[in-house]
Amino acid sequence: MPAYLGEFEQLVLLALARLGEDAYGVTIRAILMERTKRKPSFGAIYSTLRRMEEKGLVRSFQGEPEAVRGGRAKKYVALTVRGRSALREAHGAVVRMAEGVSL
Amino acid sequence: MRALLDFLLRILLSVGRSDGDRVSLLGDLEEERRARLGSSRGRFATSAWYAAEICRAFAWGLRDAVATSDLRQRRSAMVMFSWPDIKLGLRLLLKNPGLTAVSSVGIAVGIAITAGMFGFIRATFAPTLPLDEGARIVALENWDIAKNNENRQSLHDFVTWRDQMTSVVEISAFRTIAATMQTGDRLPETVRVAAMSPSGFRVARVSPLVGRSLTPDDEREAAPAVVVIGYDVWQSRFAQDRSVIGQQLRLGNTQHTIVGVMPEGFGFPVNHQYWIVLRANPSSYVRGAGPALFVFGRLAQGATMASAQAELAVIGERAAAAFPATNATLKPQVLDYTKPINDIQDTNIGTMVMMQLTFSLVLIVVALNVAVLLYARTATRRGEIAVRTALGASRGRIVSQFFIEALILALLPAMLGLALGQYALGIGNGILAQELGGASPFWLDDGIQPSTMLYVLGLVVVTAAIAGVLPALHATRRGSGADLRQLGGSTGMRLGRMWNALIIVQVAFAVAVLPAAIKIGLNETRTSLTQPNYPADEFVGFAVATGNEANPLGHRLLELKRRLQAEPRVAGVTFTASRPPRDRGRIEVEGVPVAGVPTTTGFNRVTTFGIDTDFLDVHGLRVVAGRSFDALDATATNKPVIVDRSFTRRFLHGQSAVGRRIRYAASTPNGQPSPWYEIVGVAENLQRNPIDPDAVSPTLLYPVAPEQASGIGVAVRLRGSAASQMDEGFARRLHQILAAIDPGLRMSEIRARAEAGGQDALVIRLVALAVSLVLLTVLLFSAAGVYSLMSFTVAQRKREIGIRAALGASSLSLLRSIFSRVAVQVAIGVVLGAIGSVAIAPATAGAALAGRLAIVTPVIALTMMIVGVIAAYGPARRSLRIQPTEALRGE
Repeated sequence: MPAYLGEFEQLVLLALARLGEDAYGVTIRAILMERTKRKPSFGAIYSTLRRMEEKGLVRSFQGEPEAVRGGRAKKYVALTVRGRSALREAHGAVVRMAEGVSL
Repeated sequence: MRALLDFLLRILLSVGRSDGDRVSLLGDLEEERRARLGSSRGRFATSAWYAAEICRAFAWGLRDAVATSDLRQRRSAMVMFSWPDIKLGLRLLLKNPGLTAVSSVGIAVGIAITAGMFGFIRATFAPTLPLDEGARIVALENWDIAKNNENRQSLHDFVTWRDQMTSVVEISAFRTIAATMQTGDRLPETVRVAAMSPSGFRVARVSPLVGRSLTPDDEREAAPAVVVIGYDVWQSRFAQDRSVIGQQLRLGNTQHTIVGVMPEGFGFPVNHQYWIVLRANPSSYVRGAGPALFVFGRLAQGATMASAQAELAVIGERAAAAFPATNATLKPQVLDYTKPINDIQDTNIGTMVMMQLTFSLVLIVVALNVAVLLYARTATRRGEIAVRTALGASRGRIVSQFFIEALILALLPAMLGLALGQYALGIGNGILAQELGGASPFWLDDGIQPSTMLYVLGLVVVTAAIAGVLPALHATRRGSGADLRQLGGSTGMRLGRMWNALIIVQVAFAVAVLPAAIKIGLNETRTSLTQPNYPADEFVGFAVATGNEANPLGHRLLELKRRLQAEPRVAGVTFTASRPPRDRGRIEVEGVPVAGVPTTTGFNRVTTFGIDTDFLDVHGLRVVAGRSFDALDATATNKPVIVDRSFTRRFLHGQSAVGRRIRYAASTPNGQPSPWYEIVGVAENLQRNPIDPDAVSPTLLYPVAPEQASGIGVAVRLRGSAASQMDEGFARRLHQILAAIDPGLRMSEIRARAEAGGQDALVIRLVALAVSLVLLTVLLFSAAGVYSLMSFTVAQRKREIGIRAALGASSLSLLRSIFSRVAVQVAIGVVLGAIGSVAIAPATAGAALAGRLAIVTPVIALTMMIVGVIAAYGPARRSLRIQPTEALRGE
């Protein structure tokens, strides 16, 4: 069954695609703030990531603990093949729907 | 505090998340927080952002947990956040209003007591100093092992510690001085001044708001006298005028120049608003003498309390070897900063935990009572349990539902209890502030602390676990016979030994504890009704002291009296002074065996003080036998005293008192009794009580020559009501008179006598209210518990009763059989309770079975019996009316 994506999920996946190997909570939030002018909370980002990980759209791995984080490790996140294709699908659907519509 | 906060965060963020997610989320928040602090964003804005992020993260976690709640996949999430369970819990609250009300009152009172005590113990024994790295500020103190007390005359040791210690730095000292403060032509007032080493400000790490704090330069002998003032003083006396720097302020006889203003909330070292330099030169005092100092400092980088203690112990041993005469018995110790101030040097964390556990027991008892009440309700829901089991609910699922219901039942009263406890704590803090000179210590925070909230949350969970889970476990245990037949109306549940025992314990507890508690409550109430037996509303009082015991008031006092009497609105002036210090304890009457004289405890506690010769006249109290004091009595060799009627009634059994001699017995086996005092007069009672003359404490009055004392209480009787004349003009006039005689004399706040008495009465009434509240709760619970279990037991026997009635048993014999069981249970409880009340009698000073209160025990026993009978009567009557066919249908 194809995975349908919500709007915020699409934005987060796009952030992951942009960030590549450096995608974790702080950088994801920063790029979303920079490009969408929204201020998503960390709670929202983590909930979205967890949901997408359960659907197999993203995968995560732990980094090393760092002093600047109070000795806590980062959780890096990356797109899976399935995630990338779901993103492509969703984006295509939006483009097709918008075709010929004056906004 | 930091650890506690982390713990709280971990709990909040773990909802609906895995451990890995929680850790990295916390890491992200921390990283972002530091970045924000590093940028231009303020500390406050960052904290607000952080708190908001935590709340949002919690909300998202909660949403996830609810969204994914599926009994098969995520049972734990379902257990915690099942909305139907919560709705059912709320419905049940409304369905059983009686049970809800009784449980709520009990839980609220239980939480109020435990949370109030938690707040008090935390604030007293382990407060957090709201200063930068406040936990590293420590006190240094000599402990005299011979006297088992602290020794604060440690000027020489203070200098040694300051010069030699490396694990504690910025070692400073302070002492509190009471001084009359005056600025400009404003009304003078007595204030508490901290004479402190300038380094004390560095220990606190707080910069002045305006000007500067004290510097080492100010310590020089020739340096001009300077003072730093607090924010409150700056606001109230100087209207926040920034040009206050350089202005003059008189403390006692010395003019000081104001050099700085400290920021709002700064009260270091305790609750001070004035700081001057501590001038104590060791060369002026021999070792072991000098002013009493409080020494403190900051733990050095890398040092711990233990390493500082080890270093100080070595220094102490060296001092003991070098100065055996003064230091041999002194053991210097490093303590938490507030311990010596609160005088709790010898308490440790274990004592604290034990105290808290003891108070937490109150709530456990309450929770058990609620469990008893809920048990009876659970029994009526057997059919529902059976249906749920048949539909596939596990035992854990059902138990968790009962837990949620109990949680909902406990939450609202817990909040009420928290508010009540906080209110009581506020009053306690107010009393502490009074004792410390009018202001709370700077570390006391009246708001609800996160730790208290966390503790209450824990208590609520424990209460819900006991009250909800215990009955549910019992109702759902294997072989308890939960099946769908119960839908027909029979409960089928048997009352086990545990619940029978609970009825007995319930009754026993009420019988054992209530009489003593009632006596205490009554005593408090009676005491609160005691009033002065003279027109107190015409009196104002204040204290005058020279501040030096070696410097008696002398002619200054006679001058003060003369000038006050010349005032047009003054009707009379008299003085009181404190009693000789060793005169306390048991009273002996000459020629009467010791055993024949009551002990001076409870209402027999003797009020004693020294009075001026015209004290009784000014107060309008008549001498009913013998004579009043004259000028020679203060030095007379027969040591004359005057007692009041209450004294003669209590200690002399109403016999003629004049001419008899009394003394205070030795307080220790080897101690000396006081000298004999001859009673020369009997005065009217100084107090009266409209409902009970016994509640008036007996009074013993000594003659004193007030001018020989260094501190006295002045009572001024005005013409007409004192309260209406207590305006600023009058207070100013008194200050003027005193300042004209000697500006160095200290004067306390002037208060109308009735107002001062009113505050004491308020405290007593509050105590009476608290005791009554607890009493009411215990009684309510006992009665409700007995009622619900009794009615449940009888309802269970409905079928048996019906069958026996069908077989021809008479109503009388059936009722006898029902009530005999009730009677046996209550009787066992009463007997055990009576034994218990005898056992606790020594602890309550014999209150349990003493005097007229002996009647209370049978009354309570009777109450329990009546409650039991009423509870059994309704179901029994219904059972007697049952048709035999109906009774047999269940089989």
